Amino acid sequence: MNLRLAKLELELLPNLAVWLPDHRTLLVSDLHLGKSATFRARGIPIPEGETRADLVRLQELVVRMEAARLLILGDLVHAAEGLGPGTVDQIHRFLDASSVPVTLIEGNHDRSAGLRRLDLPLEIQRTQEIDGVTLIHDPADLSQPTAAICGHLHPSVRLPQSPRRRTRLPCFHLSNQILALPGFGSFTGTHPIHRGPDDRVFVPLRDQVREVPAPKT
Amino acid sequence: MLRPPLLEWLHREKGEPLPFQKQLWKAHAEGRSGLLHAPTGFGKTLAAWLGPVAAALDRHPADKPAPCSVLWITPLRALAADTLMSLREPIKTLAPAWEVEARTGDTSSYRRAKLRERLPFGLVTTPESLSLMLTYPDFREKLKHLQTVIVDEWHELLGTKRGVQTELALARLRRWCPEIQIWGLSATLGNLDEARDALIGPEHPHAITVSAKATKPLEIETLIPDEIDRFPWAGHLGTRMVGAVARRVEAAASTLLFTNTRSQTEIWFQELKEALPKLADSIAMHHGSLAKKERASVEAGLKDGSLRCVVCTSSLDLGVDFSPVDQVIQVGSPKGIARLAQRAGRSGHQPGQTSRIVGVPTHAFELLEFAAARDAWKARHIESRRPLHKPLDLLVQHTLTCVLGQPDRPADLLGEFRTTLAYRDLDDEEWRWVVGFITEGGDALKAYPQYRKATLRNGVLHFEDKRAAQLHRLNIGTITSGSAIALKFASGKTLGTVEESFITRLKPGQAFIFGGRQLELVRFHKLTATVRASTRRHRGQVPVWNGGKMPLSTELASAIATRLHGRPAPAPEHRAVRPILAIQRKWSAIPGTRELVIEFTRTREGEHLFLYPFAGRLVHEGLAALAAYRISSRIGESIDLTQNDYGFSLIARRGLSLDEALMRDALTTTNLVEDLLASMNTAEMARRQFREVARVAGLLVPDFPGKRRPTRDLQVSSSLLFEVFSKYDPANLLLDQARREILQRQLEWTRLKATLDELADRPFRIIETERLTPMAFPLWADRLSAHLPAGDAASRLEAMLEQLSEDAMAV
Repeated sequence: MNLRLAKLELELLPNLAVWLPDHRTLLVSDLHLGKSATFRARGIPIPEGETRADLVRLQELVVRMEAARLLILGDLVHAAEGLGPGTVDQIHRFLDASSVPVTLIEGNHDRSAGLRRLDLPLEIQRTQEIDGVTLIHDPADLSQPTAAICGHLHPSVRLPQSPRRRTRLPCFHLSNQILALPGFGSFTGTHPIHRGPDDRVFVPLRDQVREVPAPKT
Repeated sequence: MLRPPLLEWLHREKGEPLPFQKQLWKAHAEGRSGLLHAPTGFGKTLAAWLGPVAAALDRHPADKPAPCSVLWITPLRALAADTLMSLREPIKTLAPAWEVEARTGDTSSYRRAKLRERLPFGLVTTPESLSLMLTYPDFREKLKHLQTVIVDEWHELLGTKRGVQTELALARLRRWCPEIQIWGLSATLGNLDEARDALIGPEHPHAITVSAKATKPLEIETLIPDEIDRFPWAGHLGTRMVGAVARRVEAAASTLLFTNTRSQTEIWFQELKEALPKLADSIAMHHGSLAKKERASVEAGLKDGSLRCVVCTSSLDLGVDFSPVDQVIQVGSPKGIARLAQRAGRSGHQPGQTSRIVGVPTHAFELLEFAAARDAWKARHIESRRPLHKPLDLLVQHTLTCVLGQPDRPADLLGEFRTTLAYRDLDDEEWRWVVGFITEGGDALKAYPQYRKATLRNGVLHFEDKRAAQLHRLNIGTITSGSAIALKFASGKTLGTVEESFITRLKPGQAFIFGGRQLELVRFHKLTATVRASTRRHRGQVPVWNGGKMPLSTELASAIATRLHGRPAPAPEHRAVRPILAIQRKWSAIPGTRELVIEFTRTREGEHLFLYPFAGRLVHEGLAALAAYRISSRIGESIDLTQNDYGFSLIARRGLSLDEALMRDALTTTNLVEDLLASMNTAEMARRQFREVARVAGLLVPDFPGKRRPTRDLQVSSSLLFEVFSKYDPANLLLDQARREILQRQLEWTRLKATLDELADRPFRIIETERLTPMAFPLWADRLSAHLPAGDAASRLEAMLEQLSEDAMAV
């Protein structure tokens, strides 16, 4: 599914990522690495596995797209308590193995977890601009109305699965020139969107991204 | 036995004690434990309380505060206040310096802090609060003088996780004070001995059961309508009986009128007021979802005699010292024998008097249900409540509770837990898993990295992490709180509560009816639904909130099957439904317990099979899904189903037939679990059930509205947890437990399996009928109303009814 935002061409990928063909850049958001480790550190027994699985998924995507750059729209990690040696090692291994430069737009979780102190080999920025589009974590931090791509919101939409049941799927939500990315991490929740009349909503279905038509009023 | 000061007080205030009360005081004086079985509000409180008070009067001076000697556990916080009043009554006179206090979830933090310093002589508490107190290291020392634990309304706790929580807490107290006496108070149950074992532990010599049942005979009468429809379906008689009921209400000084659902409560309340305009102001309504204040004023009105009639649901099934009424009326199916007897027990409280209940059928077959309930009561075939069997989520929670209070060796804890009925056969493997889960997460081979909670040091379990301990304490007490949603106006006024499953079906802006008012949902957030009065006219269906549908008990269902054949003895109700049974016999056969009657018929909608196992609604739901799944995969047609308490129906466009082999195959126990799991959306059900398991085991952090949340980083949905566990630790026993709970609770596995086993030995009688029979009609009508818009369903129903009645006249 291809879109144009300001002067920026972009493609929505079914892997919960955005591809910028002109810049060979891959965008993902909200990995919340070490979330289950945070739970464990606070005494709630939850098995490990998602951090590794998510990083493998991301690595495969970078390779498959032959990306020149990886841009993460914030919340790479979940909380300080989840940044034990296990999680940090895995992030290091991922960055070491990554053949492309990685940029992180800092998210609120990254800040409160003290990610900068870890000295990871990646570039950390507050925002960035590409072809008239602002990349930012939380759209509430935009100083003026502008075209933007953001994370933070973990958008999802309810779709009918059968006459009696509805299911919740993560989605891309385009509202007032701001595109919100779904959370990439597999141990992160979602929040149902409030859909405005002119909004556009896209969901990954199997190996395609489909637009959800506006509800009839 | 009681001695002078107490005895004098008793004679002065309460009159001559009843035989069972004396029996219990004697047993207590002998140091025994046991179960007291008596109808609610029949003097159980005094019977249980005066024993330990007498013992304490011998031990402690009455003019100085006495140490904590009695724990009184009540299932409902709401009962605590009433209980306190009754318990304080003798103490005020006999030992004014002694204190009796309550500690429940409602107790203010100031009072709780006071209670942490010094416990009163008698402490009224709930299972959750008791568990919470077990987490404090000094609790054991404070209970040094504990002498008696009384568990009120034990039948309410039995068969629930809170019941198991109570069993475990009692095991702990028994280990601390081996001499303590434990007494349970219970209403009528079919398995009193098992109930006692659950309370006191199976290995307890000298335990006895004291019973007051012989003192109070029960009479079940039925209002028989003048005219009876030959083709009844649920609710059809509806309020036609209101005239007859109004005359009964007028004739009595006070009446309790029980219904089965809250919507029926609303309807009967309105109808009775119209039928009795002179008494309109002295008729009131009482149901569990009304706000506390409104309920209290109704209860007071009944006590002081200003109310003549209260229309209510099960909300009045419990309650201490509720003043007895002149008569009790039950509208609609009795559902269970014990339940009917308990409701009847609200009348004729004076010793030696008879409990009377008047049954009001809402459809013709309910006449037989009342007759069958009477048969079963006479034969003492009363329902049992099965205690739960080793739920591991709760054991995870309780083990942490124990270790938080006091570090301990796993082997000693295991020994303690095995003294309970619930965990008597907990095997070493399972226990190793529990210890592993709380110390390492996962199993020994793949411990969860960086996990920190309890630790095993030098063979002793410790739980020292302060923040994890705080979370754990928050988590105790969340066993049941998941589903009650408060309804509020934006102004803050509380209307009552509804089930979460009801409110999540509504969209903001949608109208619904609650407590006689038409409301509109504004928003639903956390555990509160904000509503406003609805003024717009709404199109389409307006859902009425009416609580869950309760299935018939096995015991009653089987008594009805017998009653259909006029056994064991003639009854007036049976005579009244004779015309219906005549048509049923003529067109088909009367279903019973000796053979399985299967009817096959064709209508405009397709081909139908009707089966009548008489096993209750939940079991029929499982059987119907199972049979539909198996037949459908055989004939390749989609099959619709309906069920009620008597049987179930299958309908397909074509392909159903009178083939006994096909039906035997559909009801075989071969491959049962697999087919059953495949036939229903069990993956989704397990996912939902996992929420409760995860909450009890402490995986979900409770969310407290209004408080600052130290737990913001720990929010996660149960379905996400379910996925993570399924993916990364599929052997986790909690997943297994969620699946088992689905089978047991949603599908009543034990009963379903027993029904199938029994059907395998029963001859099938397959009859092709030309039309719908009186027993098939309600099953057919249910499907219609589920599939067609209301107007179309009604006209189709009328047309069918007319046709059938004409055909019946020709008989």
